Amino acid sequence: MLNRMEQDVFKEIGNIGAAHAATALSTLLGQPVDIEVPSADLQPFSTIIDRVGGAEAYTAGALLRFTGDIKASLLFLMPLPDAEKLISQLMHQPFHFFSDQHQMGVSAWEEIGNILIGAYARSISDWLDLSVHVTVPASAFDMVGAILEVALLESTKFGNMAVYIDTRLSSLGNDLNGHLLLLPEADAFATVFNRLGVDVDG
Amino acid sequence: MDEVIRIGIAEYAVSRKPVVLRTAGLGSCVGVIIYDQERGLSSMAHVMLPDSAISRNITVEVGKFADTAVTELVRRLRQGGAVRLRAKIAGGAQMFQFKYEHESMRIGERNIAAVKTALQQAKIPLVAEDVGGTNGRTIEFHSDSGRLVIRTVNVGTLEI
Repeated sequence: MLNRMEQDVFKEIGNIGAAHAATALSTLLGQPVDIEVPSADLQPFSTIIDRVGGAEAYTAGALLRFTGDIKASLLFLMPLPDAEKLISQLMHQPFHFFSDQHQMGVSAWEEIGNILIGAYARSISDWLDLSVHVTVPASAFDMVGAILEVALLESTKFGNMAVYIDTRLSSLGNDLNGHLLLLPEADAFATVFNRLGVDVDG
Repeated sequence: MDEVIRIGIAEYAVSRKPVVLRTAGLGSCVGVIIYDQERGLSSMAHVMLPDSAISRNITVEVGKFADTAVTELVRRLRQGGAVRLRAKIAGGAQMFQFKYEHESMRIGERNIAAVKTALQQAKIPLVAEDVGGTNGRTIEFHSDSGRLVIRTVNVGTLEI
């Protein structure tokens, strides 16, 4: 989908974002957290849904919007059991969604999402030299297909694709899967690729 | 067990034999079922957006928009010999609650309204619905009985 150079740029954006995010998350959790970025590429939603486990996979999502030089959304997804492990670490007790403690977990997840996505957002704005402001995150805990529909609406004019940055978190022996989607609105893809020196029509 | 036909986002299917029509992970999208039970004709669309007029593409994806999807399902069903059509709908949730209003965040409501308008214009009675709320839905329509089974992550299973 993207050429090698573009993939490398998004992987580098992912790596730098991951490094910022790992530092911030380690501080929040009081425990070391490592984040790796195995791959980054432009992917169709159908592929992303498969990678995340199919339309019905239970998933925690955090969504944050950029405004400024580009309008875009960043959506961070994590399988529900992985998100529960991460929140359990933060709360120092076993946590499950849809239990009595649901609301506490939602706040914790939004804080984690804020830190993670905020770190990636800074990395993107630094790399592409864009001035952006980010909103507070919103969250959803549901089937990933349903969560992704929000994203689809934004990107529907760009052939149903998003920049997909695969992430692996490890902390205290837990290996957690994360999926970060960069979803530029309408014409923002052109801005992003112009900054990379890529001719989108060519 | 009848054959299961899976319908993806913005897709649709029409069947003349007993089937289970299934679409998974409906969020703000609306699943539209139009059927003639007496004549064994059934159809489902996974509608994503209210109005095809906003499409920039020259070739409109028929199943994607409320207006084009309803028109096409009705046309295909009537072509197949349908007489007494009825409809059931499910979906149109608001998956993310933002602190401020953003137009696309209310897309679920707009999808529901657009589907209902299109059904009214086609004079098809809406006999059952499970719409809105904040939960994703997986739906299965059993064409032999006319049952629509709706599954959610945390509010259980419902039949309409």
